[in-house]
Amino acid sequence: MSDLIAHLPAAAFEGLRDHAGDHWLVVDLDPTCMTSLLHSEADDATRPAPHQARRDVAAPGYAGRKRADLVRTRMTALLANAGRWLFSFAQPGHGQRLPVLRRACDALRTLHRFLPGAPPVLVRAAGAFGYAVYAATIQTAGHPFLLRCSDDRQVLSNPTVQAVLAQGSAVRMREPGSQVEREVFDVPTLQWSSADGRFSVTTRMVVTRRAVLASQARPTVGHRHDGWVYELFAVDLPPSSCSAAEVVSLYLGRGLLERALGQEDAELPTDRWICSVGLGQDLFQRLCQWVWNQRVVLGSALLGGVAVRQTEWIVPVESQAAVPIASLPTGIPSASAPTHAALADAALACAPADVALADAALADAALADAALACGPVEAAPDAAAPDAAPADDAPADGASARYSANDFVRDAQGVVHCPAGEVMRRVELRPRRSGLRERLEAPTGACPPCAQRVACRGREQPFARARMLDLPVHAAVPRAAAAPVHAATPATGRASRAVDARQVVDAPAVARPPSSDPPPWRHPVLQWTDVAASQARTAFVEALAREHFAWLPAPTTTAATPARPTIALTTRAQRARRGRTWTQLVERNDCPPERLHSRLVITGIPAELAAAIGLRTPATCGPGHPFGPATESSEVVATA
Amino acid sequence: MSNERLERTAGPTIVASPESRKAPPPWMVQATVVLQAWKHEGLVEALRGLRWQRPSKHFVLMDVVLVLRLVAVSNARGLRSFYGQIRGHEVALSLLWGRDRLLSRSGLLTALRALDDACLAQLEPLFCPT
Repeated sequence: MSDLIAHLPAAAFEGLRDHAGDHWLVVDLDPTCMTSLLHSEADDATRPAPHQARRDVAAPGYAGRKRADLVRTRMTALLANAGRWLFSFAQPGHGQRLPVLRRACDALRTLHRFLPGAPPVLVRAAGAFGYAVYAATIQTAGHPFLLRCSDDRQVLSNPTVQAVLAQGSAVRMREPGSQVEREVFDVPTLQWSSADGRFSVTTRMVVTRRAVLASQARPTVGHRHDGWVYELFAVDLPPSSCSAAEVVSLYLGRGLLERALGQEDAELPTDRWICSVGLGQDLFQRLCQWVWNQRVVLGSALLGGVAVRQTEWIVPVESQAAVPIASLPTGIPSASAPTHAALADAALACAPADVALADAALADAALADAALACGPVEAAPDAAAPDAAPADDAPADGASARYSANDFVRDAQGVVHCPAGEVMRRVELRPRRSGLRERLEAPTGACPPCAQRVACRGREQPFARARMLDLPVHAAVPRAAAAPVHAATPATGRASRAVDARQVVDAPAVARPPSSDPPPWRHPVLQWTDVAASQARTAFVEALAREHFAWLPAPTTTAATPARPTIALTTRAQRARRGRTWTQLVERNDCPPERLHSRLVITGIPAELAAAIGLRTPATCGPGHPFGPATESSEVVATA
Repeated sequence: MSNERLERTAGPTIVASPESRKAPPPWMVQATVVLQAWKHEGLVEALRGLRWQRPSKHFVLMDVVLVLRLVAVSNARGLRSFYGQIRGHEVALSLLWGRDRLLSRSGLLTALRALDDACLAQLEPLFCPT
């Protein structure tokens, strides 16, 4: 651990500086998985059953977009301010998250013990850890946290949260370069308990609300309610440290970890199978992380020092008049999408004061009308559904009319609906010779109770998966082109009304708390300090790739071989047939002395890097060196 | 006329040899620097003392770590691919840590299969984000 202190510049320990002047080292925790496909063989009694060795270290589970039968999940931790991995703990399947989280918290405590004077660790984690039990575990270990809360039911149904939501939000934020606009609600203190009541934690909760994107049939994160997506962020920092909008922005900065994982996939074989033994695979993954970290250090030496970046973490926000929310979310997911009639009824039933809500409902009704007016989806000639049998091959028992791609309807927003009205969700994009194609899938569990299941899927029972469909990718409908419909969407409707009613102060502006009584801030903006680790790592790999490497073996001596002794000398230990000592066992593979005088010559090593790792250069080899006075080559002597 | 055409298209003489001399893989210099950095920081000496045993088998962690680090640097798709890449250059790489030869693929897999928690715990203090 002392190496960490030696190699990290002091500026890297500034980490995140909040408004109160406190510093935090941000550590990203993330469960990622490596997968394995099983080799399936026909049930043949004449052959022995295949041995699936990876079943011992992996288990069936959700593999995301990867094609896999088995999953092995590992939890990784990235020191975000230094761009270096800290550890990796793996388990078969999805594993047990709580013991691994406890182990990770212990490791982080160890890290802090080895770094005297370093700021405390702020744990930033994805929605997988967004439950009260995990938050309580992190807090008990002494680390503050910043989590995406996944416990919609417990939090959104909480009276404190509902009271804050009912007042509406006075703050609207938009991340730089993003089209998503969020309304931000701050709940400074919330008693957050798990569903069984065993775990409870007092925390600050930030709630955001955004309109459902037109291009998104179903939001991938958050709780959908009444045309809005609610997202929750639990944070252990008080409002005097950072505003609610900054909390959201800091969490979204977690994309750095996803980028690091992507780079790791490209640069290192961390998630490839080396052996079918759990501990062996763990060792290999840790060594891969070690190589990653070492590349950062050596790349810094190659560049003559690592670049330290300081960023003012400014979050553009707009102030607006708070519009009370009539229909509050409860965290309980709705069973199905609202029908056209229900939406129209909701619009009529709204009180006159809830004009925005009525607008939203009517907008959805208008969309439904537009969808009905749209024709069936256009299937390309080679775009037949994979599980839709052609008419010639259809069985003659009346199930021949299986729905083809032409029976599925794409609405004005590009969302495809099955004949029963279910929204088909895109699950995959596939490049094909004919162009990019999307694979769509009906909601899980929608097919078995569907009245049209036989017409749609024939006599096939039971359904292993929901109905799927392959289509060419639909070009996104530009907003301007769909003006009559899109102008009435909930987002646009609310926005135009807000412009009329609110008192716009100045936008964009530095984030400030929504309350009228702002906390005293010592520093007006957050400051994020990190090192350019990616730049150093890439420089190291690219600079040394394809450089010259030569091994010059030691010249063989032609000395006469000594005559074979006639009497063999043995030791007492040999006579007693004692086993080798550990030292002898290690020395058994030591290099023989005659080889120690061989030379390895490598080129392209700058003098700074050579000095950092103790390599000899031609300059240090003295005059008369056989490789000349070139300054760009280094010599490695095996005995060095 | 034909002689002139021949002269115009004439190139260097190609001499073929049946003897195989494979060029080293492009990551050899990087591997040399990474292994040398470990040695320079004294981690190789620390690894030398780490070992474990099974009935009738003894393992030295240094040899296992040496191969696994090379696999990591090479970004090979698997052990078979890695051993294919370094064929003919094993001796030079093992010399960097003062070893006579690299573990074979089967020897490495045997050692990995015999790993235990105590052995990994020995490595834990050495693992640091350097």
